[in-house]
Amino acid sequence: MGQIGLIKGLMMTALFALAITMFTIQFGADNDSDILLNNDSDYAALQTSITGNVQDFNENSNTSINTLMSTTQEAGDQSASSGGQFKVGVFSTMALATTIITLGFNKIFGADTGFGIFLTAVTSLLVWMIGLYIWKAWKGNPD
Amino acid sequence: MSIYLQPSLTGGMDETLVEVATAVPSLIYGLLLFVFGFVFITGITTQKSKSGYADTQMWAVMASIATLVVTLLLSIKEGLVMVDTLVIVISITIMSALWLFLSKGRGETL
Repeated sequence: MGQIGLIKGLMMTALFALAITMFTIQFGADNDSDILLNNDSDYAALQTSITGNVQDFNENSNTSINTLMSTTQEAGDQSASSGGQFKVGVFSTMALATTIITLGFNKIFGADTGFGIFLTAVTSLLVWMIGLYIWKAWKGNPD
Repeated sequence: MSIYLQPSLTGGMDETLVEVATAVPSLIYGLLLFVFGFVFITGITTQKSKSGYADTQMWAVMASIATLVVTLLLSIKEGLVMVDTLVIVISITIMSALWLFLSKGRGETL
């Protein structure tokens, strides 16, 4: 799985999470359910958070692709010094993944600090993978 | 002497179910676990026997969604599932989706 696969996977997960939570909330409203997902404040906040991250991704993508489209290269030019086009969307999708994974882990296993090390390990691994993917796309395979 | 008191059958099916769930609190959790396990294990074994390949991640998502549908139906009436149960089922569904979407390599279809 490359950088495109990773970003695509994180974005699809975010949209899936958004769809599932919205469906559940609407199901409760339509059927006048006694047990509502809205009663859990964390999941009510998750919708707002994911929507914000997706909008950030949208703005970053559009800005970056416009910059890329207006870029020209002459023969013998070196690669861009900033590498901004390879970093687009990475940090907003990273925020998406961290939000979803943290909430999911906390809800399933509890917000115990002892178990938090697993959460730290997973998010650190994601950051490490994304860093290497950016480097690989920008400068080629790391030594 | 009977093992348990027979629930009232005059208040409708939902009242009967709530009375049974109140008398046996683990009933609903057992039901949800059964739904998840049934779809998950049946899906994997059937697909593997037919094609020689089991898409474990996809069946985890399918089982989670099936469990969520049952949980949603049970959430209409108070006394069957708690908000915490609904939240945990949704969390498992989303984590299964994360597993599915991050497991596919280039060229593989979902």
